[in-house]
Amino acid sequence: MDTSAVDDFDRLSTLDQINSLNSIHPFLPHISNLINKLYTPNSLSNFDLINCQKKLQLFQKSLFSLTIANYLLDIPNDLNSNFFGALTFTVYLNHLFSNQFDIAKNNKIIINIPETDNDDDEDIDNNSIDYNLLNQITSQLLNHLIRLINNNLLKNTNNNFIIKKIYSNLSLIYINSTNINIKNSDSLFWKNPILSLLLLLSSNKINLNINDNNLIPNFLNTISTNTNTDDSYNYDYLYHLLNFSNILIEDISKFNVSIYSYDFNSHIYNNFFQSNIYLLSFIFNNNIKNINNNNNNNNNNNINNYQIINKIITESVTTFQSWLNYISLLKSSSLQLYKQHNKTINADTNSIIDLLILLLSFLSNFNTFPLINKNLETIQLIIQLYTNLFEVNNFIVSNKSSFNDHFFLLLFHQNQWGSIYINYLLRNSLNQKITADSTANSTTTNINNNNNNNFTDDNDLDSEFDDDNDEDHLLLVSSFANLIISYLEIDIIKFASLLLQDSNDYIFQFLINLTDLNGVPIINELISRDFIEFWSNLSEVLIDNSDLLLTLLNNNADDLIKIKKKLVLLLSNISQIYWNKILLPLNDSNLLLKIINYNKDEFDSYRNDVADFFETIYPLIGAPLYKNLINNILTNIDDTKTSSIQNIMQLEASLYLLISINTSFSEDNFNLELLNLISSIFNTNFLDLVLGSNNYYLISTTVRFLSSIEIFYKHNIGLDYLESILYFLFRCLSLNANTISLSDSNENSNHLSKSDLVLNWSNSLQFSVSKSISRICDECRYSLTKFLPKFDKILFIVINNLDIHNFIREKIINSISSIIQSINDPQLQCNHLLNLIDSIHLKSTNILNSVENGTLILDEQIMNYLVSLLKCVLEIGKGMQFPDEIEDSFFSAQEELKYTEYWSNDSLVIKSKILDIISNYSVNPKHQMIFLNYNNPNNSEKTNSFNDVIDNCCSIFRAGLPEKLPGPFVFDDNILLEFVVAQFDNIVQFITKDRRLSISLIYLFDLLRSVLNTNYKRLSVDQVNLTLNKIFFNYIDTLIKSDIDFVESSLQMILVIIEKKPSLLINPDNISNFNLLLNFNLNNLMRNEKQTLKFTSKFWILLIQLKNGDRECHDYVKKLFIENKVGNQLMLVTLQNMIKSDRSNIPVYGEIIRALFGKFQLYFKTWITSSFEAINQEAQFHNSSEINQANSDLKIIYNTQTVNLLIQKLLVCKGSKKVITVLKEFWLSSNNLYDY
Amino acid sequence: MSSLCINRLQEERKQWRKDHPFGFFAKPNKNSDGSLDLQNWTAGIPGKPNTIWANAVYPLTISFPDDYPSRPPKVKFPGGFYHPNIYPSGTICLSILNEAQDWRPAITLKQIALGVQELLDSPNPDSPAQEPAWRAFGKDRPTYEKKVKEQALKYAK
Repeated sequence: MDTSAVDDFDRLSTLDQINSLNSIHPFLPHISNLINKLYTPNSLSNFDLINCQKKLQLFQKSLFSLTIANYLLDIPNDLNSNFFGALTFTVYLNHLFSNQFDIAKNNKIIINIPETDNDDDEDIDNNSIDYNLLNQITSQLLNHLIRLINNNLLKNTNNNFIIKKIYSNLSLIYINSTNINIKNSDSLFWKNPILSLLLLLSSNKINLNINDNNLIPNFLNTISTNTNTDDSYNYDYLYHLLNFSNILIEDISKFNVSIYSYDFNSHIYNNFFQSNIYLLSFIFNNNIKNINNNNNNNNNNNINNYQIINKIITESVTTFQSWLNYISLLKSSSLQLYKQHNKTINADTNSIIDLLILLLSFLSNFNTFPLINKNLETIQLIIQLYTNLFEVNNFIVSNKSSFNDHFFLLLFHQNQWGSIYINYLLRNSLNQKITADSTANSTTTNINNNNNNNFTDDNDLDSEFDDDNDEDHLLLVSSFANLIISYLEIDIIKFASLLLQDSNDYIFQFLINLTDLNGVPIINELISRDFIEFWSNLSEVLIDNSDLLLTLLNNNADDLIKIKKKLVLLLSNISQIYWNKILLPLNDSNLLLKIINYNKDEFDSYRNDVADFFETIYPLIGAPLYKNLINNILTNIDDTKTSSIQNIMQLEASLYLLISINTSFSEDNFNLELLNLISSIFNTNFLDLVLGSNNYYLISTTVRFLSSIEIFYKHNIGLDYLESILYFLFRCLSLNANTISLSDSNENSNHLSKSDLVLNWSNSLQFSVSKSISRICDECRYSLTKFLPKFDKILFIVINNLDIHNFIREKIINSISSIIQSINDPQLQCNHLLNLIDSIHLKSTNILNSVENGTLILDEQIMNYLVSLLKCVLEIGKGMQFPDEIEDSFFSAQEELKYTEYWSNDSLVIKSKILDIISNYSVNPKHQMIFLNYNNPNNSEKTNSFNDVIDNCCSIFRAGLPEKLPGPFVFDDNILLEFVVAQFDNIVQFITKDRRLSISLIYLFDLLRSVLNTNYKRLSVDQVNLTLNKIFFNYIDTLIKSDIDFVESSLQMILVIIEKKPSLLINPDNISNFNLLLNFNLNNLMRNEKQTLKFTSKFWILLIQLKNGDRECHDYVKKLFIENKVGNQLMLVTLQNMIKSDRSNIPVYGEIIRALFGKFQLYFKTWITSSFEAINQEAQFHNSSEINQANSDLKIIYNTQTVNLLIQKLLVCKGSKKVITVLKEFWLSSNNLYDY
Repeated sequence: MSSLCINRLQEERKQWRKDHPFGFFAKPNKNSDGSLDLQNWTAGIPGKPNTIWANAVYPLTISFPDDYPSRPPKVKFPGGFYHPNIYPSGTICLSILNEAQDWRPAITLKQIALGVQELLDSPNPDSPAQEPAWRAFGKDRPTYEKKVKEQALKYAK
């Protein structure tokens, strides 16, 4: 190779360089080399690969792209270059047509709107296309195409991917040229591309104008008269016609069809579609005949022929599917082609129906095809086509009895395709299909669809599935099921009506048998999963649409009853099948681990869907369904005395399904029969047996079952069992990983180890148990008080055992507390409470002391445990809150008095003990340091642990705030205020060293806000002044202004006072502080944070309006705004900052201006005028600076006219919301912006 | 309830049964006679794996107005749900559920469920609906994550 040419080539790195070349020819071989390097694996480093791609893309976009494309496609035996050549044509054409599209748009041709009668055809700039160039390119592509096809046929070159790329290019030309020129169909650039291709293939001629309708029939005639498939050229040509058609229609459908005009779609539909229909009809007719004609010859020649035929049928089905997709898109598009042209639609759906019926014969002849023709891939394609048709395009077949009757027969009748095909699938795995002894005519058809009037669960199917069955096989069976389901669901009400005639029972039996295929769902079979939805939908016909069914039955109520009875019988059978299906394979450790490791989500989802199905059918079957499951449990409880794993599996499955049905129960539909049924379980040693099984699944499902029968506990019969149930749950809590087993089989897993699983499950079980306990306690708190003494031991464990998860500890404490709360004797209540509080106090003090004196090393677990103990106090506080719904009727007047007196005295000093705990954590200096100094070694960025302490302490105080009666957590206001002040002082000392503690200050502001919000009526001016001085006013300049979080949280606290009781702030004793507050909030208007501005705006609005202010307050504020000129100042600062703020902040500032207008109308104009004078003065001063002038940093000076106009507009608004619009307009003009 | 609303809700139910993402559930509530209350649904949204929301299924209630799908459904978590874009009442602040914003009648239940799941781990700090979570999310991420994880335990699978 010429090294200088290589160097020159290497130097080409920009598009300009390439375009400035005199000739591309010397570089063409280098381009080809580069392409081959690109496509040869591992020939280039990643860096070189990217550079290589970039360089080749430059050539594709260059002025020489067509020359390059033709050169590359002409290179013999170089598929890489050939493909890149075809690709280069694509790049060129896309560029060409995107320009064309732009030209069309610029000429205001809207090509995506439906036809109107007044279309201005002349507007279309047809001349903007260089048709000579397009003609030249098309011819070039067709020449390349015929050469490649001949190479493919003669030399057996595997160049299909290049041919397809050329088809795509031709499709691009046809679609774009036709769409742009469609108004003038006589002068279309390309009349019919399929005919042109046929002419090219058969006569080697290029003619883009050919429109001879006889061409295809004549060609097909030559095939049909010569039944010898040795005439393979014609068959190959047929294949290419289909292939090109398919690419064309897929390309049209790729885009939303509505971007093309009605005319375009109509053209495609009436020309292209019709010729394709003709082609497809011929293939479906003739090739099926061909297969049948040759069904006894298994010589090699015939095998080749069948391969060709199958290839053509596959391509034709794919093309047919593409057309159906296109029709679907057309229907959903706004073109409403069908509505506008009823005649067309009738004709076309009829031809589609004809094709659909023709294609059915491919299925109906399945049994007679010789084995080698049982091409399951093609059958699968056909199945998917019909499934898609029923799901998406069922309008085509609705009311078409010619098709529907045929299809129904094919699916369900004896010895028809449905039963033959499914049995064929079940007997033959894919890799066995060509073995000599597996024929479709095997006599051991397993799924019966013979007449059977009783829906038995006796399925003589022997599917022979085993663990090694491949997924493809499962999917084939699943596809078949989906076909049936999609067909039946087109009109499921009509299908339900078939139950009326016993002669139809065989159909339902067939469906039952399909549902009941052998094998573990998800692992061995998918069909039962697919049928869940179908059976649910069928059930709902009788539950939700029985009126429609009745109409269909001519309002014959007896018929409806008969159908319902039969459906109940049918569903009882189905429920039995699904009960079997959801049994966990606990007796097969390998299978169980396979599910857990690979299919857990899917299997869980399956069980979930089955449970939903049981919930769905319960209203139809009613108590017998529930009874059946309960009986199963009772039977297995008896049997479990022998500890069979089979019993455990069955128990678990029945409980699992009962849980789902339980969700349907309400007081309206829960009756004595159900109550007794549930009781019958607890009358046995069920709970002991479950616990004794040590089986995670059974225990876990039982726990969930126990929390699902809350309605049972609300009845006296149920209450009798509460104690044993809770005792069971608490015992479950103490189960640990060592006592829970996976199954009775030996461990054998290479993946997640059994011990890992069990450990996870142990934790998961604990969570589940704690939630169940919590749920039962919440629901039955009043009934559980008598059991409280029995909980002491549990509480001791829960509080003292470090290994119990914090969440569970807190949840249990909350539940027990809620039971304690429901005791209406305060003395008794207090005794239980004392026990709890003392335990926590003792334990937390011991731990804190041990850490402090170094006998216990503080680690993350200890730290979390300490915080959890504090949180337990909070959970007690929450549990002790009066429930909202019974507050009014909880106590009699006498009891209320007794309760109030008791807690006012607090003889057992519960409140002091709570305060002691709080103090122990947050005030005791040595203990404080434990939290302040703790650094989590796993994450030093985490929040300081003292924040958790303060958060929980504040929450404990907050827990008593909403209470109307003085309970154990209701403290004197001064205690709360003192805590806030003391902790504020305390934390401020440390905050400079550790900014993370700023969170604690916000917790304190929030607590004070809550106190003010709840108790503002009884708080005195002194209390508030003193507190605010110490935590707010004293720090306003030094600390609060420095941190936006402090500004916001303190402001929210102030807002509560101004809103609820402004006199707490606005009073003669607080003048200087109040002025400080005004300045603080004038400054806050300059901040750019949205939340701050929002709160500040609210402050000013509340202050101006003073809705809850007394007369003195109003007088003071009025004086302040008018005489002390705060109003003027506020207007100035608001306007100044609004002008320079973000547009989205205008409403925030605008609301202040609205409020000012509302209260101070007389001064409004004066204040605005003087504000703008001040703004202008400041601007003049600013603009006079030479530096600002030099930097063109000049401020706007508003002339009198502008200001007056603004004032005028604002006055007209009279403080309405329109003020905001006026200010937005003003803001836009001030900032030289326009509102688009 | 209009027939348009009924048809659409029946279609939504059908589509959901046919195709819903793993771990999600959504079903109409039941009347005492077992018939469906199509206007009020209960749903569960799993937290995305490998996020602080993982390993829990968060309960939702979905109420469809009479003029659905012209107007969006009201979608709520339980009251007090901790998330920057969930109001204290549990109502979700999400543009696709807002009639004045991005709601379109073509939005499906599946899209809503996936949208809510996405929102869980990708809060929008510009649309605060509750203060504690919003503030912690923006300014105290460790606390935010800790509280979200605690909440995940509450709704653990």
